[in-house]
Amino acid sequence: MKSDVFNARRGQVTIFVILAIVVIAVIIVMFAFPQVNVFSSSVNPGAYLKSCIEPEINKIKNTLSVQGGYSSPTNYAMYKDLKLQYLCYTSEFYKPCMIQQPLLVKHVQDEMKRYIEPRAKQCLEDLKDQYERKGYEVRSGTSAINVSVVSEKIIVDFIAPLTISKEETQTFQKFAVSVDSSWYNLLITSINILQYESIYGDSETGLYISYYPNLKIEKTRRDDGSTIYQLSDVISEDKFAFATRSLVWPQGLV
Amino acid sequence: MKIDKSWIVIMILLTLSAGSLVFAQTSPPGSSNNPNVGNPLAVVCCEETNSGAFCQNVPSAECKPSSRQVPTNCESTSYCRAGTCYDSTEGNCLDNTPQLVCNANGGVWSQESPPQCSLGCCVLGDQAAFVSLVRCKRLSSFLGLQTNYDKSVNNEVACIEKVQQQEVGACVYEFEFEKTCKFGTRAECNTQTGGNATVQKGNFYAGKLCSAEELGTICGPTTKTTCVPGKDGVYFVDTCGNPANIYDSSKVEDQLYWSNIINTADSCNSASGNALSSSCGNCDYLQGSICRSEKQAGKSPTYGDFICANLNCKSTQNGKDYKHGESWCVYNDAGKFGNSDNTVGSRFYKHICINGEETLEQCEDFRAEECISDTINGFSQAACKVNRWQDCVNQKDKQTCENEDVRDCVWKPKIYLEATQNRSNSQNMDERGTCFAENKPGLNFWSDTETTSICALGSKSCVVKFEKDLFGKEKVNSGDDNCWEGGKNSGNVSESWLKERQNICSMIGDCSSSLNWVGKPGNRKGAIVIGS
Repeated sequence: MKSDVFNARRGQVTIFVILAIVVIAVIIVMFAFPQVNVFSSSVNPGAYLKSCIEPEINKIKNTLSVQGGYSSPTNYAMYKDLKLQYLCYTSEFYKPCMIQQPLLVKHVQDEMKRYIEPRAKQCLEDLKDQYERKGYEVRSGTSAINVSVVSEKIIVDFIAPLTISKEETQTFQKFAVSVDSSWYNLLITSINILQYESIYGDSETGLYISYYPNLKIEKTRRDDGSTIYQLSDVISEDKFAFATRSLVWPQGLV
Repeated sequence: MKIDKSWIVIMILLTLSAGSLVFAQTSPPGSSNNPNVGNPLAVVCCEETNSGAFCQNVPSAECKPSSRQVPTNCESTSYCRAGTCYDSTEGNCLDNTPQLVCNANGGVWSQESPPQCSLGCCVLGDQAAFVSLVRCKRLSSFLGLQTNYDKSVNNEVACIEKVQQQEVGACVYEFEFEKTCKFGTRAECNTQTGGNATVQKGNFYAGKLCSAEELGTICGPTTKTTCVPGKDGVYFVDTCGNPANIYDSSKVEDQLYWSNIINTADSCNSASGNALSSSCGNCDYLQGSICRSEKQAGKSPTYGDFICANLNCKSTQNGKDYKHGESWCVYNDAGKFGNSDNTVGSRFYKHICINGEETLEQCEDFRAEECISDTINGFSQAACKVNRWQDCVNQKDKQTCENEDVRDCVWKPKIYLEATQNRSNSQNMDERGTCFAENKPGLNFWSDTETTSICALGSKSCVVKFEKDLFGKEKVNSGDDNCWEGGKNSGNVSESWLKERQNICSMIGDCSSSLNWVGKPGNRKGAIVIGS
């Protein structure tokens, strides 16, 4: 009799343990794969596209951050094995530099778009497959993507008309994926530094410290007259680095 | 009719000249009809260099073969002349941009600054920016505000004053059948929005907080805090998410403190920066503290998640403490500076304290720049400035030599270079001397031929003339006594004379044997090292 009670209690404990494991597993799946809806068969398109494209955004962002906004720098300064594009350059002595990239934000957006577009289109195809596997009928139009680097965000717009039908019909015109980033402010500050470099041949980094508490600027002079600028946001840890060559003084009396 | 042969020759020459002029004008740019273009050393304005730089005055050989090149300065060309490039999306203007670079990247180029680039005051809530109209629209859109632009304000200070004069307070309005509140300016209150929809104009209570009981809103006090963009301190937050007064742990339950706006000057411990204070959030950026999360600051406050982080630098490389934003000069290479006695390879550095970290900026190498600093009200500021040493040796008296407005030189009395010995303006022998660079320039002596000519200024020959008598025996005839040890007859060059000459030589630049920046002597065998 005593052993029956003991066995019954042990059985209950086992059931509770199994239940606890299942609950923990579900919670882990929910956090690890937010695009997977464990409670219904529907797909969350926004979350799915975000998880699909975010690694690509971060990848190209990391590349552009350390190469002056260029995926393949052409006219660059080598610094710690990195190729930093000259955004303002002069090959002469005593002269301030000529701007080499006046529309930096647009250029960076174009570079990002070029890099992530193939993957973004693949993500859309995968999304359609997801719906189809769950028994939806999917109709889609021509898709395009647009990348915007704006204040505190990088936004990738999937302009992809999509109609899905099962018991009811849903139509989407556009999906927007947004990633938090303070990159825009770094790009705008870089443009401001370029303005100073092209007019005065140098920039005073102390000025920026008084206006922007979260901004850190490291300025390194190279023997060939190049200056390496490394901007970073101390809170978000975003960074942007580029090179200039301006108002170079020769050795001796040239 | 008889035509003079010389006229025929002149006519032929004129025809040929005119023909070549027409040909030159119709030739495509970049074609190699001009003798300079074919010459790889001739400097041309190059559209794109081999390395990918645009619009550079470079030798023809460095120009990309497919790009345009004209044997003139880029300023004189239509495609490479510099002007203002306007970015119509961001509203930014960049000067000194070549026309083709601007146009190729989608900008709008103009030789003079266009009207779109004129600046005005952009009011962004309780903050301001002195920017162009398009930039103001862009910034306003980021913050979800209506554009408030005043082009009549023509300087940044007036723009900042304009927003500081704005009244702030509680804006009370009805939203979804509830009396709610938003803290902000009077102007913002007139265009109050709730959720995604614009709602009716609110009632503005200047100087009041949303949590004030008399307003009867749903907003009340909390123990939560936040950082407010554009402000230094840690602020309490009410239940509606509005910022209230400066965080003060003793005022959490003080109803009056949650009713009226209290100035930072009248808030807790306003004389100090309150860095890492767990009870007071009255941070002061100028004193090196600012609102940061407890994780970033490394200390927890009594209430909330934010605290005044310490941005100042303690025990820097020179052993001193500095405030955030302070900069100072460092010259810690071997040797001294400021008296023409810098060591070879030595350099000036500017150190800066940023966010509790000491960072450094090099001044231009070869001592082409030197570091200057000053302290105003206990705040140190340093800068790298150009070393104006080039015309020092040409100066003839102390006054013009040490004229700080035009050059960075130092007068050395009774020290002469051969070239300057009889040139001094002064009749007084004690005032005569030579002008040297305060910080002597570095020279590329290992590969540059120019160094030889600069250093040659310090050369001096110790001459002694010998005379042979009838039997071939040599005898000193004449010579300079002071360079010979024991007189000109001794045949031994004086050690002290050698040292003196070497000293003079090394004042000109990286000439003669000297110490390098780590304090090691560098010299040819047999040379005497100064200062070793």
